[in-house]
Parts: sequence; structure tokens; C-alpha cells
Amino acid sequence: MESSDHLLMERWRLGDVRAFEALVRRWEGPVARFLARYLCDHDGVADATQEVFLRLYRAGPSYQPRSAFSTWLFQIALNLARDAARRRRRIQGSLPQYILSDDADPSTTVAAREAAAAVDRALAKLPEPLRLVLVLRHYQGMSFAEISRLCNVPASTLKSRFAAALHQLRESLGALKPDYKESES
Amino acid sequence: MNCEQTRALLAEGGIMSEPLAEHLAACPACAAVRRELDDVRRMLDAAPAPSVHVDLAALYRRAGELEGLRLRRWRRLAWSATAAAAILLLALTLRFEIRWHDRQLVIGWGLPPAPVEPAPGPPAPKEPSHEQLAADMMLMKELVHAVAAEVQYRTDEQRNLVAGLERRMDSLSATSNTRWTATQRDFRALYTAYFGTRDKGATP
Repeated sequence: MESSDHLLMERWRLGDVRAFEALVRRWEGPVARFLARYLCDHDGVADATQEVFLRLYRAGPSYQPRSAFSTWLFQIALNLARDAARRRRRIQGSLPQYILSDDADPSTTVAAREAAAAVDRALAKLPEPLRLVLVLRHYQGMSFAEISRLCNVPASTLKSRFAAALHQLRESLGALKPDYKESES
Repeated sequence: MNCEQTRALLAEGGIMSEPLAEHLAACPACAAVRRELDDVRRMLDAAPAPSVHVDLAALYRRAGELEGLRLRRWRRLAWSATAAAAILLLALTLRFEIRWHDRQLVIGWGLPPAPVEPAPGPPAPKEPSHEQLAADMMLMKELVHAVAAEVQYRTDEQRNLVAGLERRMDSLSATSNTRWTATQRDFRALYTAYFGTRDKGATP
């Protein structure tokens, strides 16, 4: 039975290093996905994720289980991502080189590469508030209430932003859709 | 449920409720919107997620370095604060002062010179008592009588003195005339001896 995040944090604060390692292994994937989608920079994701957990390690003693651990962790990740974005002035992440399995159908691989690159370009074009809510809602599966607590923005505003983000993506990815659908079939 | 509510729910990605399903079945436009949104969601999911493995050893090492750095900074800050407090205390103790006065920078310390106290004046005269006043009046009367008596005495004496002085002045005047006459006679004799008989009317 897996321990809850709060319990792991409590054990870690009492000196159990394995509890911290368990937290890292549990959350490194979601954090990396969030950073990759939000920053549109796949090359720097590993370093950014490492930095997020370093900040978590240093901020651990001040942790208060008032809200969900995931909200606290993504607050750290969001602050770091915003700092990085501010440093770069504009998001200009290199597009990722997707590694697909060798036994995949070549035609599907090419189509998937194109689709993935198109998605990244479309995400990079989104304004930051829209991209943030889209990433948290779609990729992290957070509820609007959780996102509201994380971003300190009303849920109704977030819903509008999410709808606007989907609308913009539908326009951006519309040209790609037929090919992608063909590749799917 | 109308189209606006349906599309809002579709955009939010909520759970498919019975009214929503009924509307989608009856409204081809909203059904098309749903298909498009589903396509977008599928395309978003098509992009593979990066695989990241946090290096815990490097993380612990870096955390240790940062902690050391933080301690060093804190120590420097503590030293700086202590030094600043010491300087402030010294300045307050010495009453250190830097000011601009008469186009000159004046640096001073210590207490300012004490203002000069005015010298104490004479004690205020006491109000004399009645007995003291009566005694003073009596003394004053006696003094007046004594002075009056002495003035009479001193007038006679002064008269004698003045008379004596007058006599002496007469005597000195006579002596002086006699000597002047003798000097003139001697002078004429010497003149005649050197320059001969004197011309009539000529005087030396």
C-alpha cells in the first residue's frame, strides 16, 4: 500500500531519506511533463526538474499540510518555470526530438513526429495564462478548483481560459488534423 | 440544455451527463464541436512526454553546497550587523557629529561646551526692621551733630592756615622782587662792561 504524500513528507521531516526518494520517484514524471509542456523546452526539462526537487528538498522543513501536496509541489515548479521564462524573456524552447520505438510502423512514426512537433509549436504560440491552464488541466488532470488555488485565479476565469486555449489550438492544429487522422486510421 | 451551455461543458471537459448526451444527439453543430475538441485532445496526447530521472546524489550534494553557502552568507551578515551596531554604539557614546557649517565640513565628538553661567548678582537687600531703622536714624543724627561741630572747628583752623599762607605768599613775593631787582642791576653792569656806554633808549 502506497503511503500518502503527506505521510511521506512527515516521515522525511523526521529524517527518513527513503520517504523523500519515494516522493521524488512518484512525482518526477508529472513535474517533468508539466515543465516540458509549459516551457516548450524539452532540452532543459531534466535540469529544471532536478531544480524543482532541489527546491522541494530545501523547502521541506517549512512544509505545512494545509493543502494538497501536489498543489504545493506544482507551486514550486510553476515559480521555477516562470523564473526561467522571465530569464529567457520569451519562450524559445527547442523542439524535442521524439524517440519512438524501432518496431513502430515508419509511416506512423513520421506522422506522429509531425503531430508532436505541431502540438509543441501550437502550445508555444499560446499566451502564457492560456498555456498554463491547458497544461495543468489537460496534462496534469487538475480540477479547476485546484488550479484556482495554485494560480490564485477564480475558477470561472480559468474555465474561460481553458475554452479559449482549446479554441486556439483547434485553429492552429486544424490544418494538421486530416493527415493525423489518416495516420491514425 | 442549450448550445451555449453544452459548448461550455464540452470545453471544460466535464463528465458526460444525460442532458448533455441528449443535446449532442439532437444538435449536429454541437456534436461537430465535440468531435473537433476530441481531436484536439487526442493530438495533445499524441506528443510523447519526456522521461526524466532525478539524480538524487547530485541533488543531495548541491543541497549541501547551497546550505554551506547560506551559512557563510548568514555569518557575513551577522558580522556586518555586529560591526554596524558597534560603530553606531561608538558614535552614540562619543556623540559623534558630522555637519556642514559656514562652508566647512565639521566633524566633532564629545559633549558640546557647557553654556557660561552668569555670575551671581549681589544679594537682594533685606527689608530693615523698625528697631534697626530707629538705631540708624539715631546714628545719623549723631553724625550730623559731630560734622556740624567739626565744620566750625575746621573753619577757624582753615582761616589760620589761609592767613599763614597769605603771609608766606607776601614774604615770597617780596623776596622775589628783591632778587629780580638785583638781577637787573647785575645785567646792566655786565652789558656796559662788554658793549660800552649804552645808547639812549637802547635796551639789551
